Amino acid sequence: MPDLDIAAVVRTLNAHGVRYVVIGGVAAMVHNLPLPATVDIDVTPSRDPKNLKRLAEAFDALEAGLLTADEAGTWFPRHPVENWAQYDTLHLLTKHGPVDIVFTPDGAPRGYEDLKPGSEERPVQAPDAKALVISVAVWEQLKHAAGRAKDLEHLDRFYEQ
Amino acid sequence: MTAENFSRHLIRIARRRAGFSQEELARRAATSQAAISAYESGRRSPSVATLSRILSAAGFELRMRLAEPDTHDITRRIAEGLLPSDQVDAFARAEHERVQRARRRKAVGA
Repeated sequence: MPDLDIAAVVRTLNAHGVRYVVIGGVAAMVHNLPLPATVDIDVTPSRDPKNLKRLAEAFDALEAGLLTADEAGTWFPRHPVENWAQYDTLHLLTKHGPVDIVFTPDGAPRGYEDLKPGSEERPVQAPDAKALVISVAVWEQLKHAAGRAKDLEHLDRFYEQ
Repeated sequence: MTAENFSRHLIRIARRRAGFSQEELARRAATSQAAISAYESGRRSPSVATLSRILSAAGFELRMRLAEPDTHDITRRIAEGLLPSDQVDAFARAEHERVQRARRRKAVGA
């Protein structure tokens, strides 16, 4: 059974030299926004081929499996990386909990390249688990772009006070 | 998610961004404050034409687009079912407490 340890996910990605940005609810949590984070961490990795190879190694270390509506954490081949990196989003279950790989979030069509300039390194749930995290302004921009009902609800609550 | 949720949040966000009270928005949109209140609370759902008129009165334009269904919530619920429940509960509790502290801090600073 997997454990829930978001900081361990960050440490593992860092140990494998993966270049990525933390987005979504965990980014909101890092900025202490008054919105509850969920147990999954959303990350946008660079699609640079070398980075994808490092990410594939991190998948092994994390024992990552694909989560679908029918399958709960099914192992998938790490190579060739194009097989999985062609998708915009991968929902994964790892030994440290759920991880969403979101290559091109709504509002950031070039993914990591768009998000990196507006991000800064911040500790994620533990002082030694540092990662690039999107700013509040970028979080707001991505929420507007996604435009799902829950995004509007989060924005509504964010603007509430 | 229902259409009411889209409408209520869109109207509240637009009104707050415009700096209008419910009364002011109602006056500009040629409707009543009670109607705006009902839309914002989700008690009533405006037609698309009415929603568009209200947002326009706040200085915004309603745009729509088609998207593939979002599978994120489905897979997260599956993942939560596979995690130790005590850890998921502890995470949710800690987040609830953090959010309450953040809201109190924001209210004091406002």
